[in-house]
Amino acid sequence: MSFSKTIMLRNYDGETFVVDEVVAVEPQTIEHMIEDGCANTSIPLPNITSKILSKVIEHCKKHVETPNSNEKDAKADLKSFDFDFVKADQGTLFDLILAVNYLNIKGLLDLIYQTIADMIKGKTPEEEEEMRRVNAWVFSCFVGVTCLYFKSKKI
Amino acid sequence: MSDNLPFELQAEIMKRLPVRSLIQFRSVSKSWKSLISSSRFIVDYSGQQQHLFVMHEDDSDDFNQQCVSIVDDHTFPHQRVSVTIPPLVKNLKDPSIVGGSHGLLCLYDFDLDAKELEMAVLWNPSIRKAVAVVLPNMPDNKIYRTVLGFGVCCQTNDPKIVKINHIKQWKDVGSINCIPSQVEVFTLSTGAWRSSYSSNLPRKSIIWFRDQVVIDGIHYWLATDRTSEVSLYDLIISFDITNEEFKEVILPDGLSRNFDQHVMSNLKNSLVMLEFNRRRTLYNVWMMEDGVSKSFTKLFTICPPDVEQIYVLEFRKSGEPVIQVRHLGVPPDGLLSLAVYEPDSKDINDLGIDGFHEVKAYTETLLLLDKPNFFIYENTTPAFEA
Repeated sequence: MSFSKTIMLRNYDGETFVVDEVVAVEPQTIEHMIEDGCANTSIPLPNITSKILSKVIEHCKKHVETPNSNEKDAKADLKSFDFDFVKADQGTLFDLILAVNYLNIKGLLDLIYQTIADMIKGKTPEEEEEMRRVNAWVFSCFVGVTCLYFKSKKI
Repeated sequence: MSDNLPFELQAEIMKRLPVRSLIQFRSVSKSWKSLISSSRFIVDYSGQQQHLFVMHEDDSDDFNQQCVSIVDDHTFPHQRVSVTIPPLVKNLKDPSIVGGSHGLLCLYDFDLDAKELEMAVLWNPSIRKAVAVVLPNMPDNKIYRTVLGFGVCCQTNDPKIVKINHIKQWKDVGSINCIPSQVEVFTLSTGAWRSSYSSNLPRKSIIWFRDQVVIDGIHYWLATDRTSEVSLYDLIISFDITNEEFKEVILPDGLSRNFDQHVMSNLKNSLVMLEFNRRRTLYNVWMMEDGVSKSFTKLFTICPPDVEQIYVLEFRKSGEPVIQVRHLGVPPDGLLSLAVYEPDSKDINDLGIDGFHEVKAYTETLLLLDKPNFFIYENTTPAFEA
């Protein structure tokens, strides 16, 4: 039995995650780091919490493990996994966006963007008022966010 | 980590919203308004769903055109919205759709008020905006005929109208050296007409048909080249919207002649030729292969049972033909029904819109959002050619 290579990811909370290489390279950012030879000990991801990182790893694992076939069952299974995956609260979803954007995982990013778009489109006036209230905090923090975002990108 | 979102990532979410939401959300905040109205966003935005645009009129004495837009997805044909016809279109005598591209429609005819003026109207039904373009340099219509083409350049997303003059009768071909204003192009970004910068203008022996399809930034017309009064061969002429070059595909014998029994269409983003019998009860669908050979392959046949006549107008995103049907027993001048034909079950699913129809598939766009509504481009002198 061949020894499958693993990668260590160390995050914001100081926790270490050991992940199979084939899963770890789903995020393009990590793939490039490995290619550039930065992954000798562990890959630092100081801007991502344990909660978010474990969710991302879960998603990458599922997509890597599911055979890439056109078979109905496999596709339906993935679809149902994705559907449940995004049933998170808005805070988690927004944290996920920042992490997945940094890690550069296109498929997962598309999924989350589409989920949020579906949440806010086509609202009745009552729903629109609710959305307005919800989104008020999104960009009322815009100025603070930009600073935080750029600050957090420093590794 | 706090739960908030950088602006450029908000833009990624916006790109996935339908136009109706985007128009509403301009009022949510200043930053969203400036993002949605920015020319970069307008040009980059592309709707995700296909729609069918239907322009129809019943056969009453009162000229009464109506428009409806139907979402072309699994809910088809239930999500439908009435579309108000802008005054610029109502001001055309008997408008017909020249073409559609990137969510914009181009209609054309004479102006009702200024009767010698011919106009093209660019209309974005998703955001209810329209602008008109006066057609300049229209030649003597005893000798020449004009065809129009409309498309949006893939690279710059700039809408372009192309106007081509050609000689009607063979007897005039010999005596005319140079067709006046043979190919002129209007670009919305400049708001002006100019001569095409094509290096290979079409031969004066070529006669064009109105039927036009635009796929992936290329216009296609059916045309005939007359080498003598009686000898001719049929072609598809393509015009690349970006570099304005003309190319020709000579049609194989099996498909040529009888151009009054051919029409081009767009099936799942490929050019197809529909070849129909005289009675119009049967259509063969031929696809043009890519590559140098440009050969044609027969894909399938549309042959619904128990009909007097059908016209294939468009294809749904899933490939089913959208047809006008004259059902059994309806007289030749009777109303046609609009329907979708299911080739597997041979069912004709009526859409509940009777009359005479023009149909165009489109996806939503924000193009024209930054243009003044109902503006008329009247620059009739061609721009200075360097």
